[in-house]
Amino acid sequence: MTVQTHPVVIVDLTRVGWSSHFSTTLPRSIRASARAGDLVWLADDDVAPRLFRIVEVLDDGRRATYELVDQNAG
Amino acid sequence: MPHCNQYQHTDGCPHARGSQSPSRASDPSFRVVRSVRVGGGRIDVRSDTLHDDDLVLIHMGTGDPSLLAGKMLDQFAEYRGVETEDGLLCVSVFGVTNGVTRDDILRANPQNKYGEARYGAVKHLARLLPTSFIEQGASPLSASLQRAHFDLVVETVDTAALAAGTLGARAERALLAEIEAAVLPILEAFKPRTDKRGEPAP
Repeated sequence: MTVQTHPVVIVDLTRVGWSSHFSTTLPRSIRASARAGDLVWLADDDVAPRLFRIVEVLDDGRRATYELVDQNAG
Repeated sequence: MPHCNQYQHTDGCPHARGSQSPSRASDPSFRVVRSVRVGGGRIDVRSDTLHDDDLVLIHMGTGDPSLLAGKMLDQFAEYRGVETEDGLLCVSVFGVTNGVTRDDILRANPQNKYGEARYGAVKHLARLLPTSFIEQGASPLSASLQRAHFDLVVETVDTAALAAGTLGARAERALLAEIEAAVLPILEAFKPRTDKRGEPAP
């Protein structure tokens, strides 16, 4: 299966901080197309984007677990 | 060895050090009244309340109402079961309370810009629901703040179609505009915004 790289999306990092592995909302803009294994740039307002891998899609696609791909990315 | 966790700080733990803004001691009513599972964790709803002179901090780095509206819409369904079977339109804020200081909040969060207001200045604009996100894998600093986390809930927007899942693209755009209008006065209450060094931020 092809791995997609999604463009920058905004999530609420206030809830989870910038840890290397966490779950949070799967933004509506990529909900329909996001799959486990995809790469996505996550940002929060004035926080520079970082590249994460979607580990698992949860709650009927409303949420996902993410793991940081590159500490220095972004 | 002092022990602390996301709900309790003890003398000598790293989160209890002095800061430029002391926090109010724990509300005696502080307890978890219910828990709702979300994704890989849970949302605990607490019973504590803020006082009018308590500081409330909001990040929303750009202070952009359209970003905030989109984020609220994204998160709406995660709050199913927190209060009703529908969701909630809300955004995270932190109170300087329950042993968590202003410095703790600024240090733990990655955003550079923030706004602050007294609870008494925002309570007429939106309700603050005391919630703690208990998330496996959350950073320890973020977890340490959860006892001071609140969801600022916007209740002036009709979310029936959103809750029913019957929102078309046009209706979604209209709803986003309505949420934006509702959050504008709230963001105004948190001005002026500053960065973490205390410099004015746009």
